[in-house]
Amino acid sequence: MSEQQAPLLSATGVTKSFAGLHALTDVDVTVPRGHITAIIGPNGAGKTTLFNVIAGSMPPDSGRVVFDGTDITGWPAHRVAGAGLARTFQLMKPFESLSVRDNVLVAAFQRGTRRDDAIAAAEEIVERVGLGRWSGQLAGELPTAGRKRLELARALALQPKLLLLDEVLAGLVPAERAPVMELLREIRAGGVTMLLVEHVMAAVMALSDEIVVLHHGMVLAKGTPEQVTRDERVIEAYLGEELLIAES
Amino acid sequence: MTPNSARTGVRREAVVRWAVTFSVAGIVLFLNGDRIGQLIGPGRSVLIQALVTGLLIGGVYSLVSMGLTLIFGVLHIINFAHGALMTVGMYTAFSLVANLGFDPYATILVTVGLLLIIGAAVQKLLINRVMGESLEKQLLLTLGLAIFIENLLLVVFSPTPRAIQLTYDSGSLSLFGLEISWPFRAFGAVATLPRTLAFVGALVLAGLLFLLLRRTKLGTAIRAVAENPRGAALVGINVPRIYVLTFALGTGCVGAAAALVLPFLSLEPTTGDAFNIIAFVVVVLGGMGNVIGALVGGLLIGVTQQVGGVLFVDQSNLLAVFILFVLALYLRPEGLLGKAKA
Amino acid sequence: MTSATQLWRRVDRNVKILVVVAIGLALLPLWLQGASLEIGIRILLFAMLATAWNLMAGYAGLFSFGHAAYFGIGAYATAVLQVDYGWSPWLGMLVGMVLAGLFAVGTGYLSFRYRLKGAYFVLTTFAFAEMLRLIFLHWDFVNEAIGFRVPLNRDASWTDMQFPPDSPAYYYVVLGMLLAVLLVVISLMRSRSGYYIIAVRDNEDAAAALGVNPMRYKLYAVGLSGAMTAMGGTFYFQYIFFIDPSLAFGPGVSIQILLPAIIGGMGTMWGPLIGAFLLVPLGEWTSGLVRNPPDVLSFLDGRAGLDLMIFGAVLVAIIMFLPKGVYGSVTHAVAVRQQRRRRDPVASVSGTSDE
Repeated sequence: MSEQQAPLLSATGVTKSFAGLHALTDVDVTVPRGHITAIIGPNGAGKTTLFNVIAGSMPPDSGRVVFDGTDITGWPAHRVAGAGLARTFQLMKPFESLSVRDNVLVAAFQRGTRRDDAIAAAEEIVERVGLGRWSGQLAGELPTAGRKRLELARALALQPKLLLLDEVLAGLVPAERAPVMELLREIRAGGVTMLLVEHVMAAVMALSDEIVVLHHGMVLAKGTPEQVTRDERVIEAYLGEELLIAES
Repeated sequence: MTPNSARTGVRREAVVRWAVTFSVAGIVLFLNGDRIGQLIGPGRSVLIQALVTGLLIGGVYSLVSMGLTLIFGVLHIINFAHGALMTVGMYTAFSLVANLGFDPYATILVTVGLLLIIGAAVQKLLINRVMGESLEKQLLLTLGLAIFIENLLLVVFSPTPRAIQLTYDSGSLSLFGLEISWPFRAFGAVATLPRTLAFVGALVLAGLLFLLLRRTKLGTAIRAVAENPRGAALVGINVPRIYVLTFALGTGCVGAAAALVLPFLSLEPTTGDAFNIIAFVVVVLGGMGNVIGALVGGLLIGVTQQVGGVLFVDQSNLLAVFILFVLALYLRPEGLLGKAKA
Repeated sequence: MTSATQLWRRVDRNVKILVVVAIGLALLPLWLQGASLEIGIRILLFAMLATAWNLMAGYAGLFSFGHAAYFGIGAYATAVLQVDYGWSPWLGMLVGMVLAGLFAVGTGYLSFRYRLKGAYFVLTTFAFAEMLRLIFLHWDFVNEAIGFRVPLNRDASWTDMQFPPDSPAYYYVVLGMLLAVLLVVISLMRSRSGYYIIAVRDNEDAAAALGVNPMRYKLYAVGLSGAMTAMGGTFYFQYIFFIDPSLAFGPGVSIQILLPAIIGGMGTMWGPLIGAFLLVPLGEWTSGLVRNPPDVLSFLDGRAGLDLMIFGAVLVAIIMFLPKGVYGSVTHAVAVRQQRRRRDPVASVSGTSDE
């Protein structure tokens, strides 16, 4: 298998428990380069926990995470980010006392470029995600939709190889979603691989190349959107209603 | 599949922490080997005395700390004025004894009542404004209050130390046919009457407080608010009123403690400081918001203080307390008895 | 347009303010003599200490109630080296800064490693300062409770940091320290490290997710804050010619260091300076009231504690009514007005952030 074809991210046997609660049990997830992979599942299925383990917010009890050929299991979050893996947070975490542009600048600085270049890069990304009007405003004053975009903008400023997006469309009304989805397609076109956690089924169907279904902390099914939506176990456990909503 | 390094990493960290702690403790003990040997052997009576005195004063620490931890558990405020309010109680009791001839222990009714009222007023007028604000703001508010109160006392009463003397400092009494005399002697240690009464009184009040929290409607409401203010409000509990009452209860504790310690401590505007610091240490050790933890912690710290004092003869007895504090923080940041509501 | 004007326009706003402040303060001694010069020196000293504290507590969000630890280390390092070994206090100052910085980083590391947050962290900082005080109080190497006195030297010069009583040299020494500290903090907060420090303060998880190592930047702020505070300790010893464990490590010192920053505005660059300018004269005035009260207040005569009573009351009032401190509230009001203007469609669009 050539370097190009090796998956960008490979999580194997990931297990994590919290005080007796088995959040994840022996989860395997593979993210091919240049693809958009989505993780879906009911609330409490362990999606965000999986993200946290991959991104380094918490170490797994057992299992491995290999990113671009390097074993990053148990690495602290900042080191993982430095290796080229960026993530957003479901519960948004803006730097409230900094302006929108400066929020992105914090990430842009990580590229190691000169100050002026970093500022220019930050401003460019702010424009690209559609936050140009709020560039100088404090991040704490942004409405929810804006905060979502800010999360995305900051992650993009790291120029990551892999982007982990945690429910980036949640809390947005349909009108707000379309531009974001368009943005995600552009990002993929730019060569960034993405791993999404998402509830909005329409988006998942439209965007992803592969889907992984989690249920009670275990992988229930994997495959293309068509395969997964036809899988009986998935429909029974989770998709039934969601699919109806998506198709309506 | 290779075993995950992360899990062993967490365990390793705990091992390192305990190893460091025991090494430090070991070194300290080694350096003081002679003194320890003396304390265990020929000087045993000194050690026993320290244990007894420590336990007795520890009871008062428990009472004071229970008030503080109650305030923290419910209002999530560090009441830096706790010690200063105790001093207010002490001066009140002193004035009653010196000017009106009260028996020192009778003053407890007044000091508790006064501190309940003051506490309620402080919460309603001052602290209420900063409920829910940042930790620093609350700390600085109560700190400012503490500075104000302490210096007010300084201006009014001057720095001259005061003391009272019990007329019945030593004596005896026939009870159920038994002849009891004090100061009490046991195992070669002496326990003076005022310290013993303080201990007993403190524990009785601590017990009453505990009963109040566990068995009364008010207590249940308080615990509900501590757990979940919004939920408590939804079931009809008047949360602002609970805040006032809880704060008042907390300060009531120091009011009682004030009357209990006046007979054996000298009184200056800064007398409450030591209790303040110690209460904080106890509360952190016992777990912030944990009332039983404060009770146990108070006794533990009292003993540590006295034993530390005879062990490290050339040092302040507070040093042993602080060392224990720092060590405990690193071993169990959530307090020795865990389950903090921080 | 001359290149000088272009250059000036590009300079950070805070640096401009610094230049103005520096010139103003440098000229001040021309009008100050004797007692007012002393007040000026105290103002500058506490402005400097508060600015150093503000780096850790305001900008890095790590509220320290034990800055006396670093202050005292600075004072005693100089004291021991000067009195017992004849070193120049400038060298002692450097040693003190290094020791204080190490102490800060060491205790900080332990605290952060074990995730001490909020109230626990504050109380730990206090505990460390108290521990140092108690240790020094009973340590014969530092003369226990007796402390140290600066040896009086009639031929003293700049190397001894000792000057004739009415010399403005003390003023200029502490002014130099203040300007140095301000310059350091301004440069730091402008640089990428400054952004990282604020990011870690605002949201540690998010900062880590963006590649910022929270431990490193917290320790950076803590170590720098401690080292700069130690400088003040050295100066203090040289200025009052005396130090003992209470004056070095007492809780009163920690409180005096943090109050100007709180009252002026935590987390702002000029808050601590403004706070010092407000608090020190206020303290002097109330002490004066106690020493020589007007007839109306004659009962105050000789009564200690009034000044602190007023401090306490002022502190309570500020917390309740001006939560952002004086400078903070002013800048907030200005910013709010700017925001309102910005939302007006007629107004200009993009704003550069200025802090």
